[in-house]
Amino acid sequence: MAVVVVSSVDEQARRELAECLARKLGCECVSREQMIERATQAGIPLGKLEMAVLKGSTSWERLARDKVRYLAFIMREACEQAMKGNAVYHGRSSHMFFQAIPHALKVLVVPDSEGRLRQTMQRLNLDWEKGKEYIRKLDEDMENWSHFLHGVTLTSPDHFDMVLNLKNMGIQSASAFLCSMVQSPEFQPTPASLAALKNQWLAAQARDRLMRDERTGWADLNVTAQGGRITTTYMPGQSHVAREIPAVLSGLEGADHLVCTMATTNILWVAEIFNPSAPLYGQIMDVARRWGAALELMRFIAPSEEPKGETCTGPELTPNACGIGQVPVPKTSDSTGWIHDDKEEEGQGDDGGLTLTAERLIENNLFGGASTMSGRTDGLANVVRSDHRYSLVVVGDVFTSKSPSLKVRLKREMAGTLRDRITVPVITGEELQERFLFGKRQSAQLMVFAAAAVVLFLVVFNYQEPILQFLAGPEWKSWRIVATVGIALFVPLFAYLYGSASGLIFKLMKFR
Amino acid sequence: MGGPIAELFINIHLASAIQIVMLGFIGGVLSGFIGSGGAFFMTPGMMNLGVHGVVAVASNVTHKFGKAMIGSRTHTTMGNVDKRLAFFMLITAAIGIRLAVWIMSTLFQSGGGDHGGSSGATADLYISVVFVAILTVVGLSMLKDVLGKENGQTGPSTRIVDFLRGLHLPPVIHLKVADTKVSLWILLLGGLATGYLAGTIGVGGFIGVPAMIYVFGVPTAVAAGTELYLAMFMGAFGALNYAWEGYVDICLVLLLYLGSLLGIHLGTYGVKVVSEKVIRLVTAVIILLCVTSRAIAIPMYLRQLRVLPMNAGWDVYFNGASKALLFLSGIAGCTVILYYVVRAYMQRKKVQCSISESGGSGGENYLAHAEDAAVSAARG
Repeated sequence: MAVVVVSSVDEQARRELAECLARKLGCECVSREQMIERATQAGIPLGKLEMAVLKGSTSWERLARDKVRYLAFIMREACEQAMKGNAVYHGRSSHMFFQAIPHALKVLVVPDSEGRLRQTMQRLNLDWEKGKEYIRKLDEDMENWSHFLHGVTLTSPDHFDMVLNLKNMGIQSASAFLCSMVQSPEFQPTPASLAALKNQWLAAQARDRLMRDERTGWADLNVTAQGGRITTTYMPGQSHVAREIPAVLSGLEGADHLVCTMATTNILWVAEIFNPSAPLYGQIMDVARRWGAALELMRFIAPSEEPKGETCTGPELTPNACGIGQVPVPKTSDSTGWIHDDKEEEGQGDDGGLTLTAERLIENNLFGGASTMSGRTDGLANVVRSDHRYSLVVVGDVFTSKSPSLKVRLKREMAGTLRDRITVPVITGEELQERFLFGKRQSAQLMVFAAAAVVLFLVVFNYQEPILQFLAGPEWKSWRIVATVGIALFVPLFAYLYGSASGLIFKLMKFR
Repeated sequence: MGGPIAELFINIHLASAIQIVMLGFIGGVLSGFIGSGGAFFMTPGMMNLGVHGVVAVASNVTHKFGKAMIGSRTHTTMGNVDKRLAFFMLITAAIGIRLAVWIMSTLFQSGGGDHGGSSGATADLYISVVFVAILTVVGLSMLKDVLGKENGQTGPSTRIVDFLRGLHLPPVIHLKVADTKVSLWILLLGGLATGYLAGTIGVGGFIGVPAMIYVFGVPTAVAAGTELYLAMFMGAFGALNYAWEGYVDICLVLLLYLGSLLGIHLGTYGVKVVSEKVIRLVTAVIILLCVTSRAIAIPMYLRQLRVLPMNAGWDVYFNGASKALLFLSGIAGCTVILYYVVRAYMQRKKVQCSISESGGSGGENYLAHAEDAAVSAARG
């Protein structure tokens, strides 16, 4: 079962390549244009959406609901097609729909620019200058559209497995090359990648249904799916929508369980090993409760660096205990080259404690979804960046097979890379206590700030008259510069001291 | 307290101190909830307590400066601040503030000599008229916006943005964080209006934020963050200007802080647990009540300026009615917000209910169970 996604700014180049490849693979070829037709037939005001974005005029907030509906629809259609068997897609940014599907081969086609210009000039009967201007504007519009839909640059190589430049390569050769690439093990479906595809389909299906139904279409819902369990989070101000969600999703194909959690936002906890009895679990729960946030788990498995001469052991799939899904569990290797026995991980469960932690979160009404991802930090950054739900990313226990000092360095580097690549605040588990929770350090700060604020307050009110005489009395014009500077320094100082103290009091009361 | 400063600043005793702290607290709650500085409540409130308009505005602007400094730090870390937008607006906002301070000083001095020779009624009238005119427009627009929206259509109107874009007024500035393009001239004009109103009545945010959203096409979160960032500089500039003129009452500033920095946390919490429609509705109603309260006080100033032939003994009734309505609106609004906050705080463990049922294969049982759980969760 091969899935190939061909993206290009040149419609003709992608169409020719995709159709040629589909013929060779003997499968259906689905185009962006077909998808759009289906979406329009389903009642999504795509024309309005596209015009608004291309005019660059309207506030995108206003279009957010139509955008979510369109994305859910396209995602559902694309996943359904991919689940049937071999499929080739072509579009402008179709590859963004398959970022979480490892076996989908994502190809960027760079067209022959001169050929493209010539074809445009012929087709539209334009001269060279006008043809070039037309292509420039077209590319700009496509870039805006991609930015609006996915928040990424259309041709960013980060999101592709391969870039094909057609300047010196014909369609036949390119398609033959892709045919052979598709046969390679990396692009063969595995139980894990099929599970990811199914999860994506289920979430898209649920989101599409929720968006189309008038009982829930108005609400700000987040939907994720994992192994038949659908997790939706809703805003506290829209709590009455929770009554409608089960009814709307009733009888949804492939759905076994439903979890609805009230949350204003999501906190993403990235770790290789999750341990609900570790202090970090309690600390993250504490922050999630204070923020009214749902906690989303992402098991991140970094590619292991195997020693020379050792046989590489790829990820092995192990069905987990309570049906959250199938997650790959890498077998770690020790210094002697032997594979560790699974028994060593019994305490955490076969999935690195993911299932157990998810269950605990459900018990505590804080579950916001769970997923597994293997790859590099760059890939993780892409996944997190494309999702705007998060208000905080916590990097927990990662690179567990490394030595303690190396683990610390890699973890710090990982957090640094994420900070550079995404706008959401990223902190490590160690920094969590200091930044968001109330401990000894915060107690000391509270005492110092409160004492200083009280002293300043008492000084001002005990010497009220001389101070006011100094600031505005009959002689004030003689030292008005000093008086002005004094106010400019004193006011922010008091605001900082008293503001910090009151903030810490609210933190202590778990009110922030 | 004696001498000229006794005529400029009020004598603060326990009762007035408590009232000012309350003003600050209510203003802080409203400020955290609505996202504005809360001056629309605190400025007239102080004037009702006998504080001269110019001193009320000066103290409030100075108080806002420190508060914005703390608030903008949070917004900056969240990536909600467009510094380029703030920079361009600040250029003309500074001119607007300076203009406002000059007008106020001139009017205050003409209404009774330098530093509170007598009443300063001209400045009080001027502040009240600007306050009523601007906030009536803001309050009614907000009310119309809330009541006129179709269900599910929560985004701001873009008619003005579209119209201005159609004019193509170069040079056009690309605002990267806000992800929009605006003519420099429109930005400068917006900055001037914001600065003037911030300097005159201390509510620059009521013009700045809607201008950013409806005229520049900036996303709401970025508009709020940038306004707070801008308010920090405008507040600093305004505070320096008023301090230079000797109108800042440092005691009032500290008392306002005592209440407002507590209230703002509660108001911010309220935003998370109340729907956007209710937030806008509560805001619009409170603003219009504050406007009515200030309008009631206007005849009093007209009498003091001998424009309206009215018995001086009636001043106390006008001032009392104005003060009562202002406090009533503030307390009522604050109570509604605190009701939601306390309810959410008390119930958050109960309301954060998951609908879960292990086992089964998507049959009706789990859905029925889920529905029961959801109903009980919604009922709290």
